[in-house]
Amino acid sequence: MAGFDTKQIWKVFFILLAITVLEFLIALTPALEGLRTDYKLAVNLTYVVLTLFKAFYIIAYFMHLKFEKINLVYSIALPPVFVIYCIVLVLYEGGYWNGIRKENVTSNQKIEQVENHAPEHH
Amino acid sequence: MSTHSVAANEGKIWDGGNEPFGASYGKLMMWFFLLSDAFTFTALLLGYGALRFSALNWADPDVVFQSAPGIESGAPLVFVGIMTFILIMSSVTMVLAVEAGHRNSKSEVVKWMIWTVIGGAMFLGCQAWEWTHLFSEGASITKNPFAPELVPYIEKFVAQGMSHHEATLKAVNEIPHNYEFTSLFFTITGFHGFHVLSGVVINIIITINAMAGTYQRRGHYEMIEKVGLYWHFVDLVWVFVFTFFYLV
Repeated sequence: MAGFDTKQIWKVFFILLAITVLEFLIALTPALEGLRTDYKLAVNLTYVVLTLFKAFYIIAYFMHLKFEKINLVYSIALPPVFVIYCIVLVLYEGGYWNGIRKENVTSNQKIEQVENHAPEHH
Repeated sequence: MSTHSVAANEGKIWDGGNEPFGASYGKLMMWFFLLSDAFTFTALLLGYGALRFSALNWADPDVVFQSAPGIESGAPLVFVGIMTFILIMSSVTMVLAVEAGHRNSKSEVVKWMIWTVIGGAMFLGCQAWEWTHLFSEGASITKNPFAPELVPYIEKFVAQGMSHHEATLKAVNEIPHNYEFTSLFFTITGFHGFHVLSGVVINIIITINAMAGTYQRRGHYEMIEKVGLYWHFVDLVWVFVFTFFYLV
């Protein structure tokens, strides 16, 4: 049956292993420390892309979806695509809360400063 | 493979006899269950993402996960690397069992299924160790010893003559702090671990069935394939949990 020979299975295993090793190298190589702090967003996006590659290989080959009828492929693979929109919305909202919290911290510090210095001005 | 039910219903395509998706009822329902389960995990990870984006500070995974059995600290991500390898490996043995099932080779199916069960049990053992270690550090679903706002209190208690461990436990028990990180960590890895546990139990059941020759008499090993789908899904979820809790 298509996609189910032992050679192919081990090939996919080594691809998954290689991607995981690559992720560990990015996360742990001391020489990349500067990269990890200065380009945090880019590094995190790299992790996400590598994760999606792993997800593709698991679903397509191990779960055999690549070799199913096209209508089964679409009914399983399309609904999660709409999740992307939800992710964008929810993370954007999280960022907005973050802004509010930062503002609160700064305004609290200002209030403290005013309270601390108030007696001196009287 | 799954053509066995079609032949009997030929000519009655509106009576539920045909398979428009080229997959049996059971396999199709497993796929749709997994789709819904994927949305459950999506919801959990979305909640995690929103809270983490909104937080002013967050625990550093290289600090939280730097222990392994026999190594108290200084080995970031080593243990979770082993766990990830074990789970990918057990996914491979599962797909090898499915492949053997297509060749109707009972002995090979049983062999690979036993390896899959062992892999799942090893993963659960690793997770039990990891959780126990985090508990010993004072972490729980409502306590987060890695919260940055506890650091000045821990330093104060250490200055009063406590060991770092005692000071952390005292701070985490007495000082109000943000425990979103540990709360989400134990909920999400716990929910995933529960899936692994269910998977191991189901794997044991089908291994026993395969040994008893149930699928040999049935003429096909489709049950291995359906349970295999579930097992790969558990591996798939781990790929995401690993990225978002240990790497990012």
